[in-house]
Amino acid sequence: MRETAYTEALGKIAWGYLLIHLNLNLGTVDVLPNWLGCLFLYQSLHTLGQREPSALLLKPFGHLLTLYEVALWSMTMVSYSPPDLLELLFSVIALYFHFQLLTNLANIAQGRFPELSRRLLQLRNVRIVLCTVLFLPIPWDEIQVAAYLLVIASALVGLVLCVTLFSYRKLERERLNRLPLP
Amino acid sequence: MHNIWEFFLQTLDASLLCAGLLLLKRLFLDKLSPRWQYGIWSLLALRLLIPVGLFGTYLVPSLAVTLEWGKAMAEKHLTSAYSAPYLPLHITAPLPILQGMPVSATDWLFALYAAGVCFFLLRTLFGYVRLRLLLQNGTEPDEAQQSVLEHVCSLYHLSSCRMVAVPNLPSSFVCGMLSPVLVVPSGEVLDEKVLLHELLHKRSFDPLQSVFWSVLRALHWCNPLLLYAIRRIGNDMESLCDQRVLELLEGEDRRDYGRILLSMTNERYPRAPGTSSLSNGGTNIARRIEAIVRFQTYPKGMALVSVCIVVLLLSASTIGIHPAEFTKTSFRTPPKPDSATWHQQMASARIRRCSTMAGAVDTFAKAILLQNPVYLAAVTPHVEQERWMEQWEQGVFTLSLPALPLSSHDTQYSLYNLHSLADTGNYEGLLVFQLEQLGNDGTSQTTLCTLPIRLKNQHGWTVQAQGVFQTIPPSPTQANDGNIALLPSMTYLAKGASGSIRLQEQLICNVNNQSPSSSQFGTMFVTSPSFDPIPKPDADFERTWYNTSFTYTFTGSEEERAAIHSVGFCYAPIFSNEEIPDFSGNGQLMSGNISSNSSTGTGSIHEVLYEDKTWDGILTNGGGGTTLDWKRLDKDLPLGYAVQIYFNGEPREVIKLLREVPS
Repeated sequence: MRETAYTEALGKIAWGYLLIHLNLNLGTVDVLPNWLGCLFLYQSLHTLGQREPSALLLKPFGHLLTLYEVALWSMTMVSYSPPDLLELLFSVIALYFHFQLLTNLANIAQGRFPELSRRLLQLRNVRIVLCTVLFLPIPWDEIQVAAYLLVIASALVGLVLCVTLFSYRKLERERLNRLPLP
Repeated sequence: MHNIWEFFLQTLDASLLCAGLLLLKRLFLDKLSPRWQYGIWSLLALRLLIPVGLFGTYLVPSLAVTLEWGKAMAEKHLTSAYSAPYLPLHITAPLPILQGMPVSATDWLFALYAAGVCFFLLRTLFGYVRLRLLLQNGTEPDEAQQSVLEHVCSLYHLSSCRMVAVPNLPSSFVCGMLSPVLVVPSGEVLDEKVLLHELLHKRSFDPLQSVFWSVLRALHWCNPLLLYAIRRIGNDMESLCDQRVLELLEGEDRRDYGRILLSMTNERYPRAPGTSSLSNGGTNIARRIEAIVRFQTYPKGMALVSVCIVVLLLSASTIGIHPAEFTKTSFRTPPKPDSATWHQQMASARIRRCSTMAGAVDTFAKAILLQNPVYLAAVTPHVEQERWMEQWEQGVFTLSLPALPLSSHDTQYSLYNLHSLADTGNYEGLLVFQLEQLGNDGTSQTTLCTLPIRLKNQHGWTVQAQGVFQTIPPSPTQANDGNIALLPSMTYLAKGASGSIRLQEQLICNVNNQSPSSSQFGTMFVTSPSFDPIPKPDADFERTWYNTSFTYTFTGSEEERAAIHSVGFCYAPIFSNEEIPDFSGNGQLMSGNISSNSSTGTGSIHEVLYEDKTWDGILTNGGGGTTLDWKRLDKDLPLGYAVQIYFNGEPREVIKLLREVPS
């Protein structure tokens, strides 16, 4: 039961990251909203916490991020942008949230899938460095080539991360299927 | 800081950052270790040391605008020696600097603040000196105490230091910035963990840091939030030291350490600048015990994200996020002069300086086009602000165009002939406005109007008119691509044996002011560009057009001129004084029988045939232009031109023309 719950949580995390990295805008409405992705991640924290207690520390952040993304999604529909200080605060929270979440996943995967665990840690590190650089107030208009490269790199990292998470879920499912029936 | 308003800006901005950091620390209390909890305070230290607005950006721009507005309102009715109502806030140092005796109430307030800074700094110094003098009366520690120290240093690989025993001390502490001394109660048995704590303070230069924070506390002695924060910083420093101790201890020793801390809850503790002590008060110890309890529960491997968070916050907290903007109601219709809204808008304009020349030109031009004094205030030199404010408050706006701007065009002005003035760092140019006038027959005609301007960089680029508006008769020609016949140009002359060459050039710079707007049918995909009336104080020149015209004037005799049946010249840019282009390949193109303009690999050719030998001695190529990159102008603009003169298809001479001093 616990193993099944973990596999379901992995699925939620994988779909959550897919929703966060993928945007499909119809006019000003994102039909793949980030807040839904954050909600999936938040819902998976309880199950994750049973294997990595420190994951439970992320619950308040998950809650805040989901609410923030809902507000952001609503504001975007009316072409309104949040105050800079609020955006900065939630950038910091998001930076930490995703970093620790991926760390917890990697720690759980370490015992059974060490290679996958290593890849998750590498993706975590690359992702956070790219996010930090993109958040910095650099005049990207003047170095457009660098800006394009960074955006492409971020998209690639997001894609590889989603693929890795779905692979992790698949491996867990296969492992569950191989387990003898009680 | 030169006046009370600059102090308010510095301390309030730091307070906002402090509040943000306290919130972040609370959010990350159980997630990031005491190392991060203490290290994040470095952002506050940087904020307190770096003058607010030094780079033109602010954490909360509206704070700077509000204080500027308050200053103008208050100082208007006062005679201050330290500030002027319309001289914008510009902090150059984080310390108070008194410029003479105080005169007004705000001056005395600032003097009082400065006196408080001196008092608290002296108190810090006095406390430290008194402690050092007290230590001089201390004695050598006994052998047991010495051996405990040596044992701790050896066990934990720490460097030793001088130890002094002083009677009636509540607990041990380290004192001294550069050569710390370990001070212990005389005659008492020393606990190894207490010594370990103090030696770790010494290794991390905590007494020196403690003095640093004391200095910052003195600079903001009247700000209760910052005083509270600096007390928290002291406790965070102790928590970090506890963390370092726990990392070295194991098992039961860690619990013993916690018990030692608990036992000190009600004890007195030494408190002086340049010292650090295990005990720092009951409330603080309670917080430290909570941190110790969390020691094992902090998520592992968070070093990278800790650093990234600090990096992310670094620029926002030290440099700021945004420049101040013109307040929303500045556009198009200024409010009633001398009203509260008026003064608020003017304050935003004084704070919002233009960071680029193009931005200043754009703001100035739009001030004229829209008759908006708020925009004009943003590019007016500080020393002129008061004079102009008096005029604007009476509703007088002297820079009025003689006709209406072209409404249907996205480029309503251009800047001509921008050039630097030697040794001053200033620039001059000619603003050319495109206007529409009603002709005598009632039809609309395009006309041009010019205004010479000077640009200076004085804490942001400023613009001043250097003359009056000159109207040029109606012409169908647009001003974007230059017009050497109609508009002023820079002229350079060079003489040769056969004649002289005159170069007329125009450099035309434009900011992109195209503002897409919906069509009258309101469809999403059809847009028609219109002029964007909002100033762009940080703009660059998006388009720079370089227009040139060469004229050769023959200075030989009538007989020589009559013998010429074809004349031509070929000109090529040169980028150094020694450079001479190779024109030899052009001879075959100068056949003497062709009337043409063409280009070669060397440069441009212009040749005219005069079969009837009626050449008047003047040859001009009629003009031409090219687009340049504003950012590479110093590389792309040639030093001069080499001009090869041809008579009857044969090369006559090369005249070198340098663009050094316009004639």
